[in-house]
Amino acid sequence: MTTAATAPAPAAEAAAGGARPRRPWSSRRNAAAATALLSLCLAGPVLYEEVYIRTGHRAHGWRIRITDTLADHTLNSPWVIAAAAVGCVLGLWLLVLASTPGLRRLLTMSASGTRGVGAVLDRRSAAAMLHRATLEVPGVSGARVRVGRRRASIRAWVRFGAHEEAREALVTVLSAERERLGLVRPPTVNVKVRGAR
Amino acid sequence: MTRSALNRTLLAVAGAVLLGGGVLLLIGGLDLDRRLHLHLPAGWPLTDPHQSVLSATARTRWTGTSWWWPVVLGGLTVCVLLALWWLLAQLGRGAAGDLPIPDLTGTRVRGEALARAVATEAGQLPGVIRARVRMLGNARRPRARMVLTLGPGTAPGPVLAALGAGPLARARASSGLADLPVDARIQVEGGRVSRVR
Repeated sequence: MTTAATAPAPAAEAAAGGARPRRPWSSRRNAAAATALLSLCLAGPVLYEEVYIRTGHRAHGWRIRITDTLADHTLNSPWVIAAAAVGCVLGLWLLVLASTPGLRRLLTMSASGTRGVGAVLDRRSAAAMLHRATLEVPGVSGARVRVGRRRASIRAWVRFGAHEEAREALVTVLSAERERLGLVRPPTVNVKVRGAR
Repeated sequence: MTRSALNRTLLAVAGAVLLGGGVLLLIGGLDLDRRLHLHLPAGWPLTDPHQSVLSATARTRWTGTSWWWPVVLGGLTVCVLLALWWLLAQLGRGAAGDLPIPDLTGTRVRGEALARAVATEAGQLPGVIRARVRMLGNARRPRARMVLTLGPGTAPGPVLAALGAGPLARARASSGLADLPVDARIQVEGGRVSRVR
C-alpha cells in the first residue's frame, strides 16, 4: 500500500525587511574557456595561413584540402546538413548557457539580518537533513530522499505501526525540518509511505 | 563588467553566430526557401541545394579589390586577440593580497590573515565542523568566499545568523571593511542516526 501526501510550501516571505536574496549566477567559466580556446584554435591557423599566402608563399596542403572539400560538397550533401544541424544545436546550447543562471545544485538561503552575505545550501545537504529527519520518525526503517529545486520527494519504508499515522508524523516532522533548512524558497515536501521491504 | 556578464555576452554572440550559420546552411541544403515559401530577399546567399558550400569563384570573388585583404587580416586578428584575451580572463582571480584599512591611512592587513581569523572563529561556532575562508578579488574590492561544513542535523539558518553576528561582524569592524561581501556555501553532513528500538 502506498499513501502519499504533499505539504505545500509556505507563501514567499513578505517583501518587507529588505531585498530578497538573489539566486547566485554561475560565471560560466568552463564554457567560456572552452569556447575561447576553440575559437583561438580555429582563427589562429587561418590568420597564420592568410598572412603566409599574402607574403607570397604557396598555400599549405591542409588549406588546399579544406578549400577543395568546401568546393566539392554541395549544400544538400548529408555531411553539410549534419554539420549545419550540429551547428544549430551547439549555438542554441551556448545561448541557453548564456541566459540561464546555472548552479542548479545550490539552493539560495535567506540570510536575513546578515548584510552583504549571499549564502547557499547544496541540494545534497538538504537531502541529508531531510533523510535524517525521516529516519527519526518512529517505525520508519528506511527512506529515499530526492531534493529538487522546488520539490523534495521522500519515500519512506515503515516497519511497524499504521501507515496513515506514520505519514502524518512524517509530514509534520518534514515540514518543520524544511523550515530549518533556512532557504528562501523551502521545497514542497512530497511524502510516500510503503510497507517495509 | 563582471566576468559573468562578459562570459555570458560572448557566449551569446558565439551561440548566435553558430546558430545563424547553421540555419543559413540548413535553409540552403534542405531547400526550405522553396518548400516553405519563405520569400527570402533577392540577395540571399546559399539558396540552391546543388551549389557548393564555398566554390573557388565565391572564395576569390573579392580578392582583386583593395579592401579585401585588410578586412580579412584585420578581422582574423581581432578574432584571435579577442579569443586570447577571453581565455586569459578565465584564469583564477587569486587571493586579494594586502587590504588597506580605510580608517587608518597607510595601514594594511593581509587578506590571508583576515581570512584565517574569520575561519578560526567560524570553526568554533556550535555545529560547525570545518570552515574554509578565502579572500578573493583585489585590494580595492575584496570579497570573502567561505565554505562551512556543519555536523549532522545542524540547522543552517541559525549558524548563518551566528556567523553574521559574530565572526563576520568582528572581521568587518576590525578591518574597517564594513561592506565586505561574503559568499557562503553551506554543507551539512549526513551522519548516522541514533535509532529508537
